[in-house]
Amino acid sequence: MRTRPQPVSPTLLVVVTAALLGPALALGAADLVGVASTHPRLIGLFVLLLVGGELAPVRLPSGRLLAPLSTAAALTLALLGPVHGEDDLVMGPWTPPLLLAACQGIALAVRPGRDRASVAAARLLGVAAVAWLARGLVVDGRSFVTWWAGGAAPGWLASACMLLLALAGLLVERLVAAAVQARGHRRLRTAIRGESSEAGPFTLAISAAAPMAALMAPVLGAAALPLALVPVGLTAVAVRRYAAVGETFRQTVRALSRLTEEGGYTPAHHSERVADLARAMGERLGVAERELLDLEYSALLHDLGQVSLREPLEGGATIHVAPADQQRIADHGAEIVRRNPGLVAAADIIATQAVPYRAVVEDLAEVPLSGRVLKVANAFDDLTGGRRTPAVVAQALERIELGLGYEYDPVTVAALATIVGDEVRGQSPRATAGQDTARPL
Amino acid sequence: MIPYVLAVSAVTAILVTTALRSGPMPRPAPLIAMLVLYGLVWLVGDTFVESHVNLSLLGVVLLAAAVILGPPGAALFGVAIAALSRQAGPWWARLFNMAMVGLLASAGGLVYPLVGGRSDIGEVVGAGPLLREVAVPLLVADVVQALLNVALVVGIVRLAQGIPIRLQAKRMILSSGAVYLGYGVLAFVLVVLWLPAGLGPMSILLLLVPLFGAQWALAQYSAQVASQEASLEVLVAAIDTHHPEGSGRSARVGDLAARTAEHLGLGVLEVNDVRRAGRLNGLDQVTAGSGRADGARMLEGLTFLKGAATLLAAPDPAPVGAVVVAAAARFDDLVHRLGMPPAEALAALSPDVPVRVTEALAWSWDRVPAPDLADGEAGS
Repeated sequence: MRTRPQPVSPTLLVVVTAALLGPALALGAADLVGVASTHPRLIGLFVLLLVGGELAPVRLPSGRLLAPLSTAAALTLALLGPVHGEDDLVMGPWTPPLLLAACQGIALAVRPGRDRASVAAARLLGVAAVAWLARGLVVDGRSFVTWWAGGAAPGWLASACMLLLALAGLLVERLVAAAVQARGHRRLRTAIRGESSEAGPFTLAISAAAPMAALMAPVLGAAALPLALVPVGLTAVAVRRYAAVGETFRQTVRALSRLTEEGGYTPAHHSERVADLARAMGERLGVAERELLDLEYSALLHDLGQVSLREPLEGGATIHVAPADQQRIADHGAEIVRRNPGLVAAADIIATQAVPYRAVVEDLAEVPLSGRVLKVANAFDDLTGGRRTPAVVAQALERIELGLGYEYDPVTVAALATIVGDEVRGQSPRATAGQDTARPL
Repeated sequence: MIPYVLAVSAVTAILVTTALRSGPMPRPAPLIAMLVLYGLVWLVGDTFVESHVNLSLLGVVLLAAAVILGPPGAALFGVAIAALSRQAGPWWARLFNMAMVGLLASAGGLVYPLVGGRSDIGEVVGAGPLLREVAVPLLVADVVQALLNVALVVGIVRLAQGIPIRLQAKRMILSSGAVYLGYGVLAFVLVVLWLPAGLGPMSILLLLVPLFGAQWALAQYSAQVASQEASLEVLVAAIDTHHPEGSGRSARVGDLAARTAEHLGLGVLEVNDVRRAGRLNGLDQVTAGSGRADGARMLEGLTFLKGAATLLAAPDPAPVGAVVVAAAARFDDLVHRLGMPPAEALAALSPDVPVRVTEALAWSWDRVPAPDLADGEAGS
């Protein structure tokens, strides 16, 4: 069994961020007041964009919160050099994160939330890193901003360096966010992979805004800032639409999973419970985020093949039927689900749910980890009917362990035992969908 | 069709010639740089925002060329990318698309200076001068390009598909108006970065990064929408799996009901709902095992099938669409399951179904393509 990940709680992150940056930010307070008094319109514009951006985050399909406009505006401030129509902008490395922290405070006061506070803290750490690299790190008597603003660097080199700095800050933000995501049963590596695959392209889009704004500001003035945010805004609109339709599709698959329940083939909420359990097991075993979604969809639709039966099975439990019949149901289910090109991966998992583990070991049958997870999760729910009392859970686990290494993959059974064991002990309560009467074990 | 394409090509040739004579030729370096960068844009490709609207950096580059390369350069750029782009389809379609690109680039290049746009903007600074002398003329050129695009596409669609000009123009303006406005703003950003900010070709790479993100999100969106629509196929497959002896029934009933609805003059969306309801008509049989036989209940939560669910669950007096679906399903059962001749099946429907529906059904049945009939008979 793999080691359990150490969680980084959102509250802990906020406290650690405050402890790390608090004293430094306090030192920058006087600097911020000074800059605000000499450049009131410019700082006012940043406050408007930062507070607005914090209040209008974008939620990705996985539930991740990003604040693209706020991030882009804060990174711009960190990299900003001369601004046409403004006096020279003399600013220390702690002023940009301090202004961001103040605006985050305003936004959190208007719309509080623990998850918002933790992602805000991650963002603050990323911006602080960029501000320090761009303004605090001095090489040969010059900071990066002094170097590029002095005209010593060609435009292409300055923009490439800015892009790299912005990407570094966003990388810090996403890594901290991944550490927070890696709480509970999720592994850190899985969370980082999820961050890079889902938030990666969007993060890339955000990274270009700050260099664009900083490079246009010497000729366009403060108007450069909202103008450079237009491409990020377009991306945010596109991502919002994607997230919205993604959520609708998820609901659609859940609605499709009700077909067997409405037809009297399976007990109420069986597929939802199997999906929840399979997802938790997949997270624990390090299944990547995209494959987790396929696993969830396959679990929701895994019994669809039962509609080919003339008479429903007793209690809808496939665990009690002959292996050949189990495989036939799995094949029918996969064939139905495969009709949707977006569910082909889920169909492949469904097709393997009845394959015994010994076939993987002895005959080298190709069964993905998700298929082995689905097999165990389904068996467990068939045996417990959704009840999670210690006695029922113990009996079900005992029954499954009888088939360990023969019918079921030991790794997936260990993950199941840990998850349901935690639940029974109340360490990691998860909401389970409606419970049914337990079937004979 | 071909005379129209030749006329558009002739207008393009005139505009390109005019643009080439309107000023000095551009320096080769920016032109080559823009062509190389266009190659990168081409690699990223277009992403469809909706079924017929796409987001492409080409629109941004075509517009920005008017400022960065000047009118002759913009015309040369348009002609070059038209010649370099490889397209499929008949020769006249390829010629039309090439002429379109050349025409839009030349028109943008000619309009920009005509409305006061400056090309020597390397030393221009300040929001006021840049907005007045670059942004506003650029937006005017953008609007001209958008209107020309609408006019030319409306013409070819009218000739090729017979879609009324006013309908197609309204559709295009509503769906792509915002996209063209976005092109204008992004082209201004590109111009400012390229010339006054002194970034040169690097500016297009900087702009490409966020647009790549937007295209990624839109591609995901399009794939999800397609998956959402394909969920109907999963339900139909479940129905066919439940009743293998009735294989093909869902498709037959859906097709017949849709043809009948069309003949009765129902709107496009209603016909679509009727087709879906017809295909899902057998859902009741799948849910019959629970003793409820309520297929429409199954569709709760499937927002894209709301219209079909309403037809399947329609109470008395049922709307025309629901009557059509029920009649088509019963007719199919009589013909394919009981082997009744179509004329007798129609007569059997008469007592319960309004005459105009049975007449439309008979009209549609006569026009069912032979392969459909053969498939249906093979499956029954």
